[in-house]
Amino acid sequence: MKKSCLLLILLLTTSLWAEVTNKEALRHTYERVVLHNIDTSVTALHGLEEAIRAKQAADAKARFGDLVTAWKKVRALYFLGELDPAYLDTPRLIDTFHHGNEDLADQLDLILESDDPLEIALFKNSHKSINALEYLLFTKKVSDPRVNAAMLRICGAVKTHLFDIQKGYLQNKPLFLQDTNRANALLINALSESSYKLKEWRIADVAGISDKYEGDPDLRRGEYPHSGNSLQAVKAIVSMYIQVLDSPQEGDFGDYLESILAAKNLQRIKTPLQQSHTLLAQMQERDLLTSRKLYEQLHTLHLGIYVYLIDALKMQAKILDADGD
Amino acid sequence: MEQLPLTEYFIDPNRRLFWLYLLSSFAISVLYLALAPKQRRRNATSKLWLHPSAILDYKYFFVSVFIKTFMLLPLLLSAQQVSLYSYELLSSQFGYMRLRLPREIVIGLYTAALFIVSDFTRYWLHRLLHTVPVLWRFHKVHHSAKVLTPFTFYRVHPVENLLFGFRYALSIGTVTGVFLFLFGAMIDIHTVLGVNIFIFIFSLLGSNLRHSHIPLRYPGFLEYLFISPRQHQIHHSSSHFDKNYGGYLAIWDLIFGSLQRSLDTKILRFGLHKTQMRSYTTLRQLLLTPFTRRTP
Ligand SMILES: [Zn+2]
Ligand SMILES: [Zn+2]
Repeated sequence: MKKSCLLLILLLTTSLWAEVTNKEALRHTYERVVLHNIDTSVTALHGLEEAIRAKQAADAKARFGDLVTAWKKVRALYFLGELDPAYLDTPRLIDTFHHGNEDLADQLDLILESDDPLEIALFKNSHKSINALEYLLFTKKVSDPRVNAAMLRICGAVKTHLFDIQKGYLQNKPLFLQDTNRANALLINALSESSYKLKEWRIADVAGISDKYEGDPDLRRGEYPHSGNSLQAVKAIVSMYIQVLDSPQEGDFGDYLESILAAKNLQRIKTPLQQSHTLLAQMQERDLLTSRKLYEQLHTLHLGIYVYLIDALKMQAKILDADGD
Repeated sequence: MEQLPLTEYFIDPNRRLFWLYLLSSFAISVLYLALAPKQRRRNATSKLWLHPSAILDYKYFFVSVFIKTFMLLPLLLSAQQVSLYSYELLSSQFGYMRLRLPREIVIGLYTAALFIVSDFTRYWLHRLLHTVPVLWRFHKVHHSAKVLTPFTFYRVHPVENLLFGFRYALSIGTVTGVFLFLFGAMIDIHTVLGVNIFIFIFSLLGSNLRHSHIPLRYPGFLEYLFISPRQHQIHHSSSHFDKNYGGYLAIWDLIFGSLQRSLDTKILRFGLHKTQMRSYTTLRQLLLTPFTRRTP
């Protein structure tokens, strides 16, 4: 009797403790990853804007890379729309990858050639996206007055959306932390979605290993074909995963998973993550054409997230008693 | 954990013989017998509880626990494996998909789907156990019970256990894979004491009376929806082996034409034909008879 009482107390305290750890991990993720990354994006955009205004082409191009790095980390973990539906479509206003921008370049060329005022000419959301900015910055002259004005206009639009997201995340922090289970679900769903798109859109389609483009690798299918930042985007997303799941700082979400997951299942997330990171460190943009190994690691990582979900359901119990008639 | 496998059967809410379910079945029985005094003599007698068939049930329960723990468990492909495989298959076929529904609704749907799909596959496996000759050999072990006690639930040949285990892993795994594909991390199960809430409620409502001599019927149309204890008892009577294959739900029997309601169904002689019963009187026989070439 005494023994079972002790056991009960032990169980209760450990489950309470686990709850705190979960909440801590969520709070850390929100502060150190989500808010941190959106702040960095805003800063990166400011820098880019200054360089464009100063017509420093080389500087602007470098700073565009910084913006890509910062923004992709925000985009690939975006769950603000789940906290407040008003923010569901905001990311699509900022980037157009896989959202129907087939003839964006042609449209922008026409706009630049026309004499219409820019505030009228740049009428579509895609005209004011990061992808439009990339096209102008890497194929036109920054010093050209109309190009320059167009770029500044786009920067302004992107900045408004980034501010929006920043404000939204700040306001919704209490709501996020209020329901631990839901918060876990939002976080994990964001990771599973972005890891799928990472491996299929950003790797498989480019390397010609997806069903759709079997045997036909093409760098132009990358996210940033004009600037050669497609690999940079991949690196950014993977390093965001490391921020969330395997950061050097104590108390990240990976540490929480470590406390609840079987060690071998945790490794199904952490190992491919580390392997991808290592592979990426040695890659150049062109290596995206032959990135089957990276694809395999990212595929394993994506499935690893599901292994965690299945593990968390605790349904292995009592198979043999589910029988009988 | 570190418990004996045997005691676990009474203190684990996932088990049919969990003490709370036994207690609730007992309470229902007391109530029933208070209202139907005629049934008292039949139920409160050592003739029933110490009948050779009941005693064999008790012994068999003891032995089968060990067989299952040490021999069958390692053989089973796990529901987790099936879930992951189903998800992988779906996402490779249809890409990435996410339906947006409130979490509470997703959990309700998933919990219900687990229960309903599992009950459906149970119906079909049970039906096959009766209709496929080689499977019937093994299922005869369960139907060789001359009297019914809650322990008769465990009077099932290990081969049948194995089939039910596979069935469980496949059903639960597939449902989970589909829900992961559609809803990702939003899924969870509504549970009571760690048990799917549907299973908990049905177990509490006296699923132990299915194997008993309390002829509890459900009124009116209810027996079209749920299998009453009486309906399962009817399944155990030799003239109705081909009726009421269902577990918790009666709708499968209704749809596939094997439903027999309690009303007007009288004859109740449990067990196999006399000449066959001789081959199922010892532990050894329960385990080995299905393998003998000429099963009587
Ligand atoms: Zn039965
Ligand atoms: Zn049967």
